[in-house]
Amino acid sequence: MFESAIPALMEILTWPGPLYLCLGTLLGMMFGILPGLGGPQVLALLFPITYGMDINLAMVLLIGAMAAVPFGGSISAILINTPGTGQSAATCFDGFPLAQKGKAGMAISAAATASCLGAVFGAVILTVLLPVGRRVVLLFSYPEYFMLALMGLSVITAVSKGSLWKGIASAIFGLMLSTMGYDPVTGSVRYTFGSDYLWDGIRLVPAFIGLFAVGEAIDLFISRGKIAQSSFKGRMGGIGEGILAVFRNFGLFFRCSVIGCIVGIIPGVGGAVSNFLAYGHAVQSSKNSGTFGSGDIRGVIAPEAANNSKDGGALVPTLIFGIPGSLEMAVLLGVLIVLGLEPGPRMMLENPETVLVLIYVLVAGNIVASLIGIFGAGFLLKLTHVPSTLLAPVIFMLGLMGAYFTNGILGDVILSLVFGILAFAMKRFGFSRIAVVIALVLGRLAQKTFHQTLMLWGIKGFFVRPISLTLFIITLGMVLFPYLRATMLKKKSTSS
Amino acid sequence: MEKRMMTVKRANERVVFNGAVVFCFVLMVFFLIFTFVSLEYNSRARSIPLTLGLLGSLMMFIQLISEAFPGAGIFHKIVHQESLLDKADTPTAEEEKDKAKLIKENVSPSKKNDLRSKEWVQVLRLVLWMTGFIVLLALVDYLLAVAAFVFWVTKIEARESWVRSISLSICVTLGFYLLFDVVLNSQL
Repeated sequence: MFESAIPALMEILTWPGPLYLCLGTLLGMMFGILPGLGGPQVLALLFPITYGMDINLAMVLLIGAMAAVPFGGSISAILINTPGTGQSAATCFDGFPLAQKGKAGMAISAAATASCLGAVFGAVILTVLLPVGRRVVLLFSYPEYFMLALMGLSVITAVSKGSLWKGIASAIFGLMLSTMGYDPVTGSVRYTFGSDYLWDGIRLVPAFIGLFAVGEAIDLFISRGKIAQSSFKGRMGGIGEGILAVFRNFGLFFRCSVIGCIVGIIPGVGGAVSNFLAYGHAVQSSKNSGTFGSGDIRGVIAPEAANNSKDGGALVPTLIFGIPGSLEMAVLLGVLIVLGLEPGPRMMLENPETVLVLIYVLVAGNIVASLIGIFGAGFLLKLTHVPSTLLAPVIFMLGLMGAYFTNGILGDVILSLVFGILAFAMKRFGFSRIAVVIALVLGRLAQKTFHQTLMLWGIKGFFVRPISLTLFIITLGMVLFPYLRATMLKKKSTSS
Repeated sequence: MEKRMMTVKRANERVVFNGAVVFCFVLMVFFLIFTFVSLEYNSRARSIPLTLGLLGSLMMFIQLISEAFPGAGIFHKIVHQESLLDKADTPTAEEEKDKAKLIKENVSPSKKNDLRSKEWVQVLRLVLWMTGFIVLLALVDYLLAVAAFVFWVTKIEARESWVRSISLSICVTLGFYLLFDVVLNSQL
């Protein structure tokens, strides 16, 4: 794989690579700054545009946007006390108080430095683990892939927010949708209801656009008002001080980067978890924790290091096994499939250059985002003063036209609208959109490998192979654990 | 805390009919339809959809009973089991945002349902506008459809001024022309 290192680097450095990198980063930051919008939305909207592009340039644009989102969210967390994304929520606690004390520049530059170095850390871990992962996955066959897909679905439902029951129901709903269309293994056409459009099943591009862009835009429009409720008005001094602060607290930065990486590797656990875990660790490990919450720079460094290193970690299961490590990875997985790549071990063997481009852009995107953030934060923040009723129609059009642009078929636009309504309803009634997305992406793989296993080994094929059996036991444990824990806690409370 | 109080309040009600009940019913019907249709396929083709359909129908039926009859204690326990990372007392960001909005608007939580039905009317109107956009897209050039949609939604739904609505419509249309026709050279 490393023989492709220089060619992959050339892809980013040769024109129009830098243009796409800057464009993607700027778009990612804009989406990150706006609450309600984030990685899945920017990927869903950029996705149709990359159709037909060179695959490596498409990765530069998409990963550049995805890499910049967390830092975009941090800018609004620091300057207007509103996290742009869930993974920047903990940054508000000390970021905004620092801005109020006139140290906004220090906070933003510390966040930028921690983000950038955190991303580098995550990319290094990814680079080290990928060759190891290649050896492991050569032991995998159809039963193991099926169990991995099942485990990926189960983990997501077990850790997704809200009711576990609804999470599982959402995953089953997504799997049901993935059975629509022509099935190459069984040779049958299912659930087309006489429509030619549904022969290909549910198309991922319009589905993602509907689930993330259209659904969120509906929510944004309904909420009305401006996003910025409070804001910092002052100068942005102290940039150098902020950068130095990261190096003065390097131990904390390193530990939080490790936390972010580990959280990222576990499929289904989102960035918000790494953010809060890192902040909690910073408070607990501090000798003078009383300053946290009122403008302690460590309260900015810790969550920022974690929420950027987690992207490198999340790419580990995504690239090695084809199991998404987070919601953004699930959308990215769909993008890779539609662009003709097969995530998993084959991707590292057949497209090593693309894998390396992905890693390089993860780092480069964060560097560019940091530079834009330090010098352009004030300008970008004007977006949060635009009324949501003006922003939402633009997002509707970007989404619906993006869906139309892919194939020029009205069916795609209708599908986006249907999924948009579904997304809004699911959000309102506590059903998990993440589970639906991941089920849509993994559903076909799960069905194909299920039938292939049955044809070759029969039902015992899932249970006689040690890796497959181990994955099955882990899956069962993940689904049953919340119920067992609740029963144990109840017994404990009744006995006490 | 508020979530627990709402849960206790709901448990005292005999039957509830709200958006959540309707959504669960719709999902249950979806699963039932897919289950029955799967019986037409050959045995290998129907194995997975039939299993998923039966499971999904059962789960949504239980969810529906739990939502519609809050007094059904055993269903409530199964259905409201929190996931690994959830704590019942910790409000979500959405709940905090809703609460802050209600406090700001000086509205008591009991009036939340009224707010929600107004929201659904707004959603329906937005959906109708987007449907109109799709019809227009089929009939005329996409730039005209985009301009019309942005203008009418901004003017009528967002109640913005004529100047703002027209300016936004022109800017968005120009942006789309540059993006799709000039940069991406699409043949829409």
